[in-house]
Amino acid sequence: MKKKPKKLEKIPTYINGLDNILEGGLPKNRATLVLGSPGTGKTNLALEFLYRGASDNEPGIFLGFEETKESLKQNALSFGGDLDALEKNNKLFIIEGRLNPETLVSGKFSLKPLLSIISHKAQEMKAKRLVIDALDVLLQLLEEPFAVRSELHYLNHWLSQQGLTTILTLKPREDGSRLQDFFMSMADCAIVLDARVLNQVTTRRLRVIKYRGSSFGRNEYPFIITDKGLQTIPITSIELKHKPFSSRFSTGIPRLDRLLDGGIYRSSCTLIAGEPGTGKTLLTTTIIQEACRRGEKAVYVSFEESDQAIINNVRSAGLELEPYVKSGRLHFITAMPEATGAEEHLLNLMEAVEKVKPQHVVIDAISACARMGGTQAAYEYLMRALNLLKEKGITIILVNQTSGSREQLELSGIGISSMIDTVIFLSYVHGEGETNRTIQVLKSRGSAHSNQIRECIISNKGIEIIDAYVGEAGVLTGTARKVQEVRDRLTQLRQEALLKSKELELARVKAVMEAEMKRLQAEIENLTTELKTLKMEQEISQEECRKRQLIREYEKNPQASSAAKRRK
Amino acid sequence: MTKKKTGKGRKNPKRGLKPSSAIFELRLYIADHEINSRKAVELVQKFCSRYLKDNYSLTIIDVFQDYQSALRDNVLVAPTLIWLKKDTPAFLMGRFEWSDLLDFFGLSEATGGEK
Repeated sequence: MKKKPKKLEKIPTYINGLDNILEGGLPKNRATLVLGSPGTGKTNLALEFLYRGASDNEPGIFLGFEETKESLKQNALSFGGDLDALEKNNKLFIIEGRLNPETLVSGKFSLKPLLSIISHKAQEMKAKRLVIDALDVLLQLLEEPFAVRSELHYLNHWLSQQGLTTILTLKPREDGSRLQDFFMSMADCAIVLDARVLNQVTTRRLRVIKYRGSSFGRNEYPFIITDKGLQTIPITSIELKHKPFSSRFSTGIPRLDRLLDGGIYRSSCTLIAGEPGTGKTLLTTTIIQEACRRGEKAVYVSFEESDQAIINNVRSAGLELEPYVKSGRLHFITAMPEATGAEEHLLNLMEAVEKVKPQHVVIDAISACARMGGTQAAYEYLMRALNLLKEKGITIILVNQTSGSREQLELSGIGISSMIDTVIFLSYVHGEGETNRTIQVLKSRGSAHSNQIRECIISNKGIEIIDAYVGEAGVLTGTARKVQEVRDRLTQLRQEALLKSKELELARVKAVMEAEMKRLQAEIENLTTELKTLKMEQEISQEECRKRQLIREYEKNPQASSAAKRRK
Repeated sequence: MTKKKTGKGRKNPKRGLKPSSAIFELRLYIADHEINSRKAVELVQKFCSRYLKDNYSLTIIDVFQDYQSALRDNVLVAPTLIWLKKDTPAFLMGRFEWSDLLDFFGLSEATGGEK
């Protein structure tokens, strides 16, 4: 991705992060211009460049037109640099170019004496680095622009022959744009520094605007001046080399693990959002306590409460964090967001991360980050923190306080939603005379998850998640849920009873029908029998009649009757 | 090239900014044969012989030859004229002219060599 130019040699500044932006360092044996208004850190940058070089056996010369030797030494001490020792070993030489107050200046002059001093001195001490600080102070005395140009031409020519890697510092001047242009054309590399006050917080920024023959990080990079010198963490120089998710860990709440399809992915970023009092901090500390219980480590950045307040608050819910703080598994960073600039907050965090080497980092709350100096500062802080942490494979939990209704809610707050893998949303549901908490997993990258709202109950045993009532009456929680559940059960019972009674009735009707059928059957049988009997009786009586007639005929004529009988 | 032209006393410039017995001890720093430097040498010599008579010592130092003196006297531009006064040295730098020299020494044409 980055091609390394073969011709251009670079020498490292050894300043934290700056070499990343410059993709290696400053152009070797060439001039670099550092532009910046008073107080932006030009001299500090230049001095640190010399100091770090001299400490690495690259002697340097500092020529300054503004500050005294003493104040330079004081400056260096602020980042732990001992200039005296380097001077003694002939690794550093400081020339005070401040004009004697008695000096009368008259017209044109040449800079040759100072260049002569530098070349000789450089040869003598085998210097590799040079800083010319605030040359514009001297050049201002050269009233004629033409004279300035000719001196700068000479300086340029001279510099190109010295074999010194040079930093020239310059204050941008409204009237001195031509001077600036000339300096700019002289330099192979140009860095602009500025310090802006946004919402009462000063943020220093650094931007490389030119680098002949080399690519470089083109953005504005915030930096700070600390007791370790200048520090900057470039935002875009951090490549996106986050590891893909592999394993999950438990949140310590079994129901929540199930909602999340098995827990939270390691080295993912989870946002826990919700209104004040919905249990964000409690949920977060529950997850962290569980992590510490497993023997993992965590750094907890709290912008809203002190560590002791958090420990005490969650104790009522049965969480005991104190032992983990004592054993060093849980490290708190508590600071007011407005106390320092975003850069210092970031560095504090990264320092703690270096020291503790945690598996988890909590930032509570990202909504407070805006107080570091505006949304932009907060965005940069978070983006960079998230990038750096993800790169290290650290699991991040962000807490965000939201307000207003869920519909108009910008969940991730400061435009970092692309960095967030899982969103757990805590909310209130207002019911009849009570308010209940709900929990919902709104987003969970790389896993199936339930998107149903669950009820979240906080007791002295911590957080418990139960199914909320989801039915015709909407989502109900708390007492309303219980009432509705009873109501539902009654309805069900009633229906069951009705069904049963209908079944019984049907059975009864069936039974009646069967009984009637049996009775009729019996009647049919009776009638049939009676009919048969009648028929038989009739036959019998007819036979009797015939017999009686025969007897009567026999009595009248017995022979004839007997003859007839025989014939028959 | 370090030229030394003295009226009365001659002083080694390496001793630092200390007034000598001469009333006007002067050092002129120049850069090689640069035109302004050449002019400055001419001007200062003419001025000294006219106003300061024998009462001065003038050391001319070329920074390309002797950078150490320049460093010690904190001379970074040329030409620079230093007047080693009793308390603090006075510096005159740049392409100064006759009138600048008069101002520098607190003289006026009237009190000068016209006498």
